[in-house]
Amino acid sequence: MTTPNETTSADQVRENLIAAEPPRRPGMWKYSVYYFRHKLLGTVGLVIVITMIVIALFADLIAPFAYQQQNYEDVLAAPNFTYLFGTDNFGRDIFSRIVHGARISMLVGFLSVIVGTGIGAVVGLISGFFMGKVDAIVQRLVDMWMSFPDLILALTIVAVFGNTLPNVILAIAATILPRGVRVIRSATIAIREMDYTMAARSIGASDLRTMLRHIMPNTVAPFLIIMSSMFGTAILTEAGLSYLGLGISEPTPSWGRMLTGQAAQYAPRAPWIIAFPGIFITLTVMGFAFFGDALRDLFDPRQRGR
Amino acid sequence: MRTYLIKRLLLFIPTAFGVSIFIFIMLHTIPGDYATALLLGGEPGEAYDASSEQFEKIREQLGLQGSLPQQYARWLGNFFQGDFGISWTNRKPVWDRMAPRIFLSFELGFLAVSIAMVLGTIGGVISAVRQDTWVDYLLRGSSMTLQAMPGFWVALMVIAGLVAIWGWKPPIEYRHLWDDPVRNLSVLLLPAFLVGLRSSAEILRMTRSSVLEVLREDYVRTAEAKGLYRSRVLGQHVLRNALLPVTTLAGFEVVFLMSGQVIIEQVFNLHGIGKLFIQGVAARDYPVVQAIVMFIALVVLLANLVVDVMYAWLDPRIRYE
Repeated sequence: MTTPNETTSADQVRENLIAAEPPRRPGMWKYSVYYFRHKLLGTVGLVIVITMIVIALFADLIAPFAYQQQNYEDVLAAPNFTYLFGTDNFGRDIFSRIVHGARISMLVGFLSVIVGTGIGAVVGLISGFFMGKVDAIVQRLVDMWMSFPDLILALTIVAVFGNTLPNVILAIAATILPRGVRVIRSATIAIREMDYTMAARSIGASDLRTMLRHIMPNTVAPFLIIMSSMFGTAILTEAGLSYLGLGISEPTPSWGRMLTGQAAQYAPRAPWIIAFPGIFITLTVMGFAFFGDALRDLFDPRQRGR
Repeated sequence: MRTYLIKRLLLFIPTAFGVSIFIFIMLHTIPGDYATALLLGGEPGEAYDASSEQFEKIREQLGLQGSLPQQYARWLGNFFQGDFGISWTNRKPVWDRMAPRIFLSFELGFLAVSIAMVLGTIGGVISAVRQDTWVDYLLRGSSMTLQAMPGFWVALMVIAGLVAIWGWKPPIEYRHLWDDPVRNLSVLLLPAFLVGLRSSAEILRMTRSSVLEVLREDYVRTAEAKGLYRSRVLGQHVLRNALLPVTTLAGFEVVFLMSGQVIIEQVFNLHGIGKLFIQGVAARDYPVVQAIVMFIALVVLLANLVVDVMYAWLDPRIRYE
């Protein structure tokens, strides 16, 4: 039996509800901290990524020598305390050159990925949103685009426009673009069918508003994931272009260019000449790959708590 | 099956045309007029006397006369007749420069794809069957590392190692496969292995997940419940189903592999199509670049076509449709 005192009116229920602590879900920040503590590879990736960015930003402070400084007394010196990674056939400090080379790799990587996935995302958003004819045409174009091997496409663009910094960035962005289109398109198609998109449209939101306010924010996760996973590809393509002597033709050393020319001839005697630039390329690519995988797990709620 | 084949072929033709237009436009956005540069020995875009007879003659030689659509039609028409234009660097037909190199590149590519498929599928199956053991971790870890390493760097390191440790000399003289198979393979096997090894990483990953998926199927459990040997279940029930999707990947691998092959030809100084392409790019020899890009794109499209047809033929669900 309930006494009148214990009966709960609707008002009482409402008050109780307001007073009660809302169920706490871990916030994004807290969750991230937890996450990186438990997912080692992702953390390793993040550390590598941050280290490379710091090296690129403060190259002048970190490098003990100028990258073009030739020390003729120490030609082909093995790694020691003065020259951490040894010297090359001109007596240049390999560590300093790698530190400066990080600039090119990071700069080209970031800009080409932003341009490539950015344009790709806009095209993918439009293609996935309007479907029908627009989509069919865009998809055929993407198919054609993807029938060019990455390096061949980049080389052709460099051949046409010349190998300056902006052109190399555009050439690499062009190899990334179609993948951006694919990923964002499929994300858009999924979100398009969501109830909240329906709701927005039913109260009369325009196409543009639905796209920008309701669909685009929800493609941020796949966008970030494709960005970080394409970063490695971009760095590898840049290294390939530089190795072929068709990358950026500036005095600044780049990792790929450190491996070309006479480096191969001296390599059997002085393996450090080619070993370290390659190790740095590999580390960076791996770092971004691990980080990208971790991001994927982080953004995919189904993976949480597993 | 027939409707599928017809549909697939119908898709191939417009795609090939689209690709050719794409390439043509890309190579005709070149800033400046190359004919001038060639004539005057100066930079493209410099002032020139466009009406001069000599200039017109050079334009004609280079296939630059007429409007853009006219140029395109002429180029495509010639392309299908095997006339790829005149190389701008040595004024010889592009085809004459390509022809002696095609066999080498195809052989290298074929070897590399075969090596990638064999290593990738075997590794993938082992990795799946021994899931979450040290074998699995080792295979996955090494394939992930391999994918992060630039192919040409691995090649350089391997060559340096071989030279330093065994005093190995890279074989320089290339002989045609039919003339001297042993020497031919001694030149091509190492580069093919290095290109294939890198591509095998992706195939390993795909095979592993595909096999793991099939292992969970009911018919596998039934087969095991019947008391079949593990090897028989794997060979008869798992692999036949699991390797089907992997064939599709071979088509994509061809695209991926070509980037690696272009560089490896440079590393090993093999006179294949890729090396010619790089020479063309470095010298801004546009007819050469244009012809090779078109050629490569066609090879990729054809490879994808063959893989799709093969897939349809291997999969009874499509074959009997």
